[in-house]
Amino acid sequence: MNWNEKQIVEQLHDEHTREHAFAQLVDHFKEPLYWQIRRMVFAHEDADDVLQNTFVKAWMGIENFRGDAQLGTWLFRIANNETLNFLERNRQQVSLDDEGAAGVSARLESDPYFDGDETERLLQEAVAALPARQRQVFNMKYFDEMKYEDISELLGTSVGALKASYHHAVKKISDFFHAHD
Amino acid sequence: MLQEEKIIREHDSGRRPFTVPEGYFEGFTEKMMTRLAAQGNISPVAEQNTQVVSLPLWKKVMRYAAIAAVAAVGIGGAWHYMNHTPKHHSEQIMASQADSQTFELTDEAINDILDYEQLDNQQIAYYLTVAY
Repeated sequence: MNWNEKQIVEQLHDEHTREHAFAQLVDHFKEPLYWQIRRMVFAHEDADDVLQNTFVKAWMGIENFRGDAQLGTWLFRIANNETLNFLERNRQQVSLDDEGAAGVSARLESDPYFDGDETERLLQEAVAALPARQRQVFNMKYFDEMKYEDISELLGTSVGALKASYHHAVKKISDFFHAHD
Repeated sequence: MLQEEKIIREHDSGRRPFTVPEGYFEGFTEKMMTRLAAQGNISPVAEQNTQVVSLPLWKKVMRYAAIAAVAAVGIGGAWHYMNHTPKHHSEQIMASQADSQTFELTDEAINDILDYEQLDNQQIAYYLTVAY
């Protein structure tokens, strides 16, 4: 189905068409949001929970969406908040010195929805060891190859701060690989 | 590209190793809308997705014929009963009805009956679109 954002926004603000439009919105954004979340929380079940909570929050706040930002940006910000809250609740933010990062690798090894080899597990382990904000910036810049300007709009952080964050992240990960080579 | 980034690329196969259960994305939207409905935020999914479909003429004719047949059997049966039941039997029944005690229905029993008898919009839509 063709995506017409202007029309969807209008339908979302009309209580007679809201549910139908919201179903279209879920359909359109579920995958990009899922992968954004999954790379932060690693396990499928966790990503699924966070994604559902994201759409519940979006539904609850749909009347407050005034179209100042694009729907995708608005949803991403909700997903981002939900993800960070989840990580905070589950205390998954670990440092390179913690055993927690190695725990992520062990979990991935037994995860039926992760089919990476040892090198890919190590990369994820290194990413998991980053503080949540750096991990987020790294994922968006490295894996999604997004421009700093676009990341800046999504995260509400200056381009300069993002560059510094990304630089710190790649330094930590490369050090991690040095230590494991 | 940063030197450190090159090191990472050397350790990165470029493959994305995360997967999802089969059919996960295909079923997600319905699951999501069902969850919202279960929480009382929206009407049930079936209502939103239900489209009223016109029945073909032959099905309409068959439906009315079935209704007419049932009515005819009912009326015929009643007529036969009224005309072939011995009078004294009818009188016995009337007498027993007169003697019978009246009874009260509790609110719970009335609600059960109403629940059973009333079709909501979703059920009606279901019968119109799926059952036929």
